[in-house]
Amino acid sequence: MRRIKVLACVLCLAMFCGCWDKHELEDQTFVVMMGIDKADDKNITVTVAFPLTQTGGVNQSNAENSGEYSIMSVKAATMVEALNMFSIKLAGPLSFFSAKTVVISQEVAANDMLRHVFSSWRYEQTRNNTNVLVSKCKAAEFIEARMKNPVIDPLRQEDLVLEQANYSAYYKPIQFLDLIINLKSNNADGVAMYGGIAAKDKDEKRDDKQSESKGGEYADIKEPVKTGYLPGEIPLKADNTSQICGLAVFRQDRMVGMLDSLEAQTYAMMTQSRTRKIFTLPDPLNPDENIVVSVLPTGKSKISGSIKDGTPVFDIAINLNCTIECIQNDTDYTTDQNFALLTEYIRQTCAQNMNDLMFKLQKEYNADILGLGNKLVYNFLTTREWEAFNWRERYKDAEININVDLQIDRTGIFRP
Amino acid sequence: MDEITLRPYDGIAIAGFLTLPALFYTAPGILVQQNGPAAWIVILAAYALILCVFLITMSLMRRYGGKNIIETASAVMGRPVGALYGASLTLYFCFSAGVFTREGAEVLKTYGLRLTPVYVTAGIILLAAVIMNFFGGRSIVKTAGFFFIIIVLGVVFILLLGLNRYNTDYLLPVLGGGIQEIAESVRQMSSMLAGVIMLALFAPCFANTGAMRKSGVIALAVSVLLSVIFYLCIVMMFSAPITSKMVSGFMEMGKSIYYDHFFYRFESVLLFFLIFSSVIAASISLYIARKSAAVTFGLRSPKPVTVICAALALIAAFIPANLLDLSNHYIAVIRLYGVFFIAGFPLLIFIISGIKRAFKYEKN
Repeated sequence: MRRIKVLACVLCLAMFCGCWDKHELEDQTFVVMMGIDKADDKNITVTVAFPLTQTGGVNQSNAENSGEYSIMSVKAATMVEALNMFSIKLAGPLSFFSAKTVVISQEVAANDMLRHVFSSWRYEQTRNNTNVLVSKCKAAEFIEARMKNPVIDPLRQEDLVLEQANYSAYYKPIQFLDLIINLKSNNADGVAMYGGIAAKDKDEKRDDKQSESKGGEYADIKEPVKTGYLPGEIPLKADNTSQICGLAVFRQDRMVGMLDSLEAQTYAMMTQSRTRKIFTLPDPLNPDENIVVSVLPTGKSKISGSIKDGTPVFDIAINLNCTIECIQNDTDYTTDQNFALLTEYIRQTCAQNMNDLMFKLQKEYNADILGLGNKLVYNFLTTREWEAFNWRERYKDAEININVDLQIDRTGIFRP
Repeated sequence: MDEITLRPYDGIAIAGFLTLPALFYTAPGILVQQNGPAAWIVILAAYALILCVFLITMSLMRRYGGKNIIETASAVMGRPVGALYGASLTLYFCFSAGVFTREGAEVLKTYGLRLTPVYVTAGIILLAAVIMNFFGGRSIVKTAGFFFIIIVLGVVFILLLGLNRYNTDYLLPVLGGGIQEIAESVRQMSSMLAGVIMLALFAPCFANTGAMRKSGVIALAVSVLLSVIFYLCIVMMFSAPITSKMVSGFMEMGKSIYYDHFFYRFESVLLFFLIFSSVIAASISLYIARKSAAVTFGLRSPKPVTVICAALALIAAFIPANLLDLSNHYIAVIRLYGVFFIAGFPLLIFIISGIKRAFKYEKN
């Protein structure tokens, strides 16, 4: 019994930690989104959005405040210093570990990514699974637009960013860990989600144009077959004007370009499995009308890399399953000839999109976001040999062969 | 002296807690920094080396059946050398208990208890270790046996949860920095695995040498299997350049697990493993220290020595100024050079014993 008492006393000692590290939940302010913009000189402007939990005072219940968000900005030398500065306006510390999305302005992403973003990885509250997004506009503006008139609660909206990508696939979800691994890698480059705001005046002009156009449909919609959308270009009318669409492309630690929604879909198709992409294509037999197909990779693409006469050669094999979702006419695609034609047409379109994407990445951006270097390194035994090969310089001259295999296995709830 | 009876599983648990906790701390980052993706090869090579030394030690123990390693050293090399060896073992394991304590406290401070002074967490860990020692060897063995299986299964569970983040491409180039770097690092990993040789101190507690050998080999196999899988997983999740920067790759792994917004972040589970591993590893080290002292000085009860050993461990735990000092100097002693002492001395005894036998045979 005496021993148990001694043990109980000792276990109580463990609670001493509460004297220093206790955190009262109601004193905390939980950041939902954080934005980083370039300020003057070497400083940055950090913007945070957080839910209001106790501003109503004693007479106002928390329920009345629920759903309200506040946005604050501060100029500081570093992100961590900025978080510290915010605390003077709040009842307690600002908790960054709850941040769902970090928004980095394009200006910062193109210049100071390592200094301001990678360096903050050391900070204890940085989470590896926070979403990372590069904004076409200022990060503060994007956050403001994202928080304004949201369709669902902003906290849940940011929570669902990753899951939503499985349905819309206009972007590939990227978390902090995915990005930093590639920022520090010699074998591959990274991407981040790309966001922006649909300009209000542009929408209004578009509305005027629509009213003038025949048929009353959006006259200036970009042709969705060949050209994708960049953030802010999706002709969507909503009170919340923020849009996540496409990907920001990095070469090592700097953003060098962007991919539109179609390229992002193609990229996701080449790198992800179990994610359905929806494409609208001109009907091969009635080019004025459209066919809508959904394409699902059956698994991750198989990439093999080898070196032939000093040139890296890659064979990329992708297996796709396709479902016909919509045909705007009564063409009979059940005949063997038409079915084969449709299959080949969709296959060629996907292959063409992939070839176009690879050309852009190689020749224009010189960014290996597919991680081809990771596949070529199989040919080397030691890091020293691999570094001597100088992959980064050879990437743009690599030969890339893409082999797409596509099967139409479903035709919606109708027979073809 | 509180002599205990050890079953093979108890031996596995004791040896396991002397080798496995290093995985939770700074060791993976340091090893990956030196060898890149080839860290797992280093562990396999170190395993082969330590297995050889362990089997040699076991054959020595069989030759001197019923005696522990200190008594064997006295029998082979004379009482003064045996006493010196025993005293050195006491000091080494006091130091080891201190380092386990401080390392656990530092990782806790980094990942959870930012404001709590490190001497509070380290003090509590060490206090728990001392109390377990006062309750006797049997309580340590039972606690180690109970938590060993939980921690092993827990580690496996966490590694399985990381499946959706693993990228096998990060394991290349397969030889990392090259054969030379691997060979240099084998010594370091051997130091981490060398703890298993200390089963030789418990020789009289096992039914026979065969049971002790079985315990050691299984403990080594479990430690190595888990370590190899752990190193493979951690590099597949973070890539070598990122892993090499981490204070505790295991904690970062827990932070990075993500399935959806309802199922992610497992640091709290890992903190549980970390605290119990630190306490039990410190307890076992302290137990070995006081047992060595008791054998060396012929004490009937090791209890009076416990406080002295704990005081030495406390000094070892509090001397490092900070995490950098701890990892660069203090951890280096047991994780880089420990093998020379722990594995080197039994080898020396074996060689001298062989020479003496040869002389005796020639004389006859």
